[in-house]
Amino acid sequence: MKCHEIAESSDEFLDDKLQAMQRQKIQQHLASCTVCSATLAEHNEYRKQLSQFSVPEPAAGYYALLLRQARVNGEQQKQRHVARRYRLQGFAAAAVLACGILAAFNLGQSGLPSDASAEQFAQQTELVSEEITVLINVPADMLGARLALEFPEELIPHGIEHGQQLAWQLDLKKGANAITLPVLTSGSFAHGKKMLVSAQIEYNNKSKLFQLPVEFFSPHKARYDLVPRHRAHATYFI
Amino acid sequence: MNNIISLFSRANKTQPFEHLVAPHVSGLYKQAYQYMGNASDADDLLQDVLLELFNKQEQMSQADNLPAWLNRCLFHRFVDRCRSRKRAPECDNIDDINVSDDRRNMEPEQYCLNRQIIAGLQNLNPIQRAVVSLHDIGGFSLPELADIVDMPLGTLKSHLHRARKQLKKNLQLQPFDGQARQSV
Repeated sequence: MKCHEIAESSDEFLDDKLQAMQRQKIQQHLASCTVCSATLAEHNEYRKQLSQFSVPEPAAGYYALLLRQARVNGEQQKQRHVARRYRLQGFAAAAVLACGILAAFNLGQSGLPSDASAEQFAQQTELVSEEITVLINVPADMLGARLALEFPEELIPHGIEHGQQLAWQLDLKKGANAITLPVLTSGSFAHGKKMLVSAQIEYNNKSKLFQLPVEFFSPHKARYDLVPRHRAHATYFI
Repeated sequence: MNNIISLFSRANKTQPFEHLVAPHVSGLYKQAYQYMGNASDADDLLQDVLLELFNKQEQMSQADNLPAWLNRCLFHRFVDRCRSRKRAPECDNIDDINVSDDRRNMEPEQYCLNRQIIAGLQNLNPIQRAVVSLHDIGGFSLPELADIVDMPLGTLKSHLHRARKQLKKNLQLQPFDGQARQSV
């Protein structure tokens, strides 16, 4: 028998779980090998020390209290989960973030008169074609959902002759859905002006209306750097 | 046929959470204590695990070897916690270990022995700590251990060998025998 075999069988040997023949072989080896004898003695001492380890007993009733707490917390967690599921049921939850990416601003020009109509605005100012990206984050597939967007008068949906509303049916997939729309705008309003886009999602005979803040970015900032930065904190759950 | 009936009856029978876990909660606490090294952290870890178990009652009631299954949950939660801390709590000095709350519940000799062993365990990485703790203190067999930590037997033996070597070294470096301390 070789030394590494002794090491592998040391636990069984000390626990007296080996067959007589095997045990006798080990004993013969130990009688002639001082290294294995010392190693086995060390291992025996190690086991003895660990067997004396004891975890201090907690106060009486501690385990019952832990179990009760786990039950109470677990039931509360389930109730919250169920309540949330019911709240979302029917049309599924939608989270919408509108990120208007307007690359060219003329910061020095004056704002648009508040009573100007979209047509007047388009006629009186030099319009620039830009894109607005709407991010819709839904927890489940919403096939055939109807999305309606109503833009402020400063933003004119490209291709819509009259009115500021745009509505169409689309398939929203679970997770983030990015919808990029062309818009016409002017640099005549001040940078940083707060604007809202109204959005309505209809799905499964239910609907939800949102007011979406539009965020503008300075021209020198790259788009890919901006969109993810605003995704997280401007998410709205139904 | 008997197997089918027993499976059917087991599937329909749901035992209360406390009834299932209560016989094993003491063992889980002791294991959590060995993992974390003090009562406060063991309490936190165990609360997390019990909440997880409450949400897994169906799986729990179907476990063939419930102690091993519960310890697997505890082990995974312990590893998650170590990962969330980026690095396992290590201890270079046994005086840094927060076991003062346990002092009043123990004899001085026992307290000293515990400190030495906990210091040795805390200097192991989480996997080694779990393996040596479950096998050499908890008494789980190697096949049970392979199931708990989800590792092949060969890998497990390597971890156990390295953990024991390190722990033996630590214990020899810090003798806890009363006579040895008095002679210093």
